[in-house]
Amino acid sequence: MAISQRNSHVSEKSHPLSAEAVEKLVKLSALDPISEDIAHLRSELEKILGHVDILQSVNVADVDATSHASEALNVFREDRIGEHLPIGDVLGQAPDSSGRYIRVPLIIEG
Amino acid sequence: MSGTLSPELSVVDAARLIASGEASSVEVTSYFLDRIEAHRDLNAFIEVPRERALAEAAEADAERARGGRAPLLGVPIAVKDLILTKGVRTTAASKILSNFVPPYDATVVTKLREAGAVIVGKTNLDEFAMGSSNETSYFGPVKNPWDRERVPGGSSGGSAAAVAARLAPAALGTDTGGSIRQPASLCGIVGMKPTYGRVSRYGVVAYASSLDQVGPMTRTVADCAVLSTILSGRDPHDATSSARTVPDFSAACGRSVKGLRIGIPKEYFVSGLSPEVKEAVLRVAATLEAQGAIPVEISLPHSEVGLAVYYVLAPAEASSNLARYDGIRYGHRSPEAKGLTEVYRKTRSEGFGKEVKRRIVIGSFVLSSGYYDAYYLKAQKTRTLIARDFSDAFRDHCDLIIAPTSPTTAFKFNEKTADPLAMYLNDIFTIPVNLAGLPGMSVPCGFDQAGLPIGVQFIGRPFDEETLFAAAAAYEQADPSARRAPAGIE
Repeated sequence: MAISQRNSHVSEKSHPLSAEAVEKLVKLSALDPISEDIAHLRSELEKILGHVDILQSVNVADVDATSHASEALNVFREDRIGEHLPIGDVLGQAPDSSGRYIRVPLIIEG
Repeated sequence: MSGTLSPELSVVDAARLIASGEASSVEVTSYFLDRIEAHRDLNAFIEVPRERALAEAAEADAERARGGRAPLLGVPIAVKDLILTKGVRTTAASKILSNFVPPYDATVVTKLREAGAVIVGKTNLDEFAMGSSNETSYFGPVKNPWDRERVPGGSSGGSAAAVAARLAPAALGTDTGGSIRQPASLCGIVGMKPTYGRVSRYGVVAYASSLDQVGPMTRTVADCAVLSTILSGRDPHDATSSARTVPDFSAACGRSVKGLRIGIPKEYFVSGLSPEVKEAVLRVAATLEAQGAIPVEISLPHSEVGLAVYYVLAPAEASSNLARYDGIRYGHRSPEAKGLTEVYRKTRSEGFGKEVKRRIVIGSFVLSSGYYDAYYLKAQKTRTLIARDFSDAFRDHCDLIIAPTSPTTAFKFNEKTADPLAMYLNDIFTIPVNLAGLPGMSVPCGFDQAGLPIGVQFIGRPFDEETLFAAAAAYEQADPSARRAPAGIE
């Protein structure tokens, strides 16, 4: 089927996801499950994944994966210290810093 | 002020005016800064460093007086706010980077500066380049100069609107699934995505690293060629950049198209595509045929799965690339967070918009244990088949492919925001080109009955941008009626 005809039916299929699965994905994504609208996200993901499931019908036997379109392979450089960014410029971007350190909240909680 | 300044000033014209002394860079830059201010309602810019731009222009004038002859000396160029500019805020149109001032320039910015250009402002975009309408920006949507109730396309909507409204002679955009070409089409300008690896990605905020490319957005093919030549080339900072010699793309603009075989993919031209878009694109083929080119029907059998492949691979790569935005080293940090885990989660939930979060979560899904093989690996293998469709066509049937850039002309605000999939469909003709790493260029080819621009897409072999320029220039010269300025931008 041609591209425009096939894709006009994209809204019909859905890939069921549980609310628990979506919440787990939100945490895996380092997002806040309390502030995210899990139900709405679930509905949208089901629809998008419903379309993506078309991939299951593609025959990829004996086909290698393509991870990028670059011609380059194994690009190396000399292991020498070169120019680096001024530390002040870099630390100046941190939300909280002290001297030559970025300050972060306690890692060991409780 | 020089009487030769007008909104129609191209990059080539501006460079010539300044080099000849007919106008100073300060005059030209001031002229466009004033135009940007007069058309603020378009919301095409996030940052306009006026004093800095004028200082750069003054320095360009001084350089000219010393005998400097850099190719873009004193010419104002806008830069998409996804591309780092040292000392000038760069936000990716996101709250999470709304206070970020880069400590270094992207390589493409360095190249513009070395060519003498003045960076006149940072253009608006869909947040983190994720979008096709410029409706997801933290700084508000961009309006299409052709109809202010319609979108300019995206994600490089600000750059497209700025060039279409003549707020700058040219702008840089980025393209991961169509984000230069589709807004170029919707705004009636030229937009070029080079072959993957042709232009350095160093200093470009990463969305999907195997797909992202930087390219020029201009009003003429000649300007696009000048900028493409300047931007291209190997960069030691970008291991994926190609060491191939960069041709003079301007020289390619004069080449004949006689004997050029132009592939027309049958899968792209069926009912469902806007009839006006279809007619306009086929008219381009006919125009080139009249100059001796040979249209030939081709097949790209895996066209229908391109969107699915992209919406597995791009979100997967984005979920990795955007992991760095964690509130620690730069950008927004949630003031409410207690403890490190909360810093990460609250910062990111507060700092990212809905579309960005949606794509990160999709990425997490397709990479997760139990789903990796069925989705991510499967998509990578299908990507190989899509690339093979193109390479087979170029090997056996054609030298260039012609296609619609976008299935429709510019749509109204909020028309597609309720259904993510409806929005994603805007890129069905552009996405496969990124997946295969090919060069693609959108060129204006007419208007629909509502007066909205239509774009034709030229797609070439890897590193054969010269054929794209030859065909695009030949078409542009043969059909000047396909281009005009939008009303109300005087």
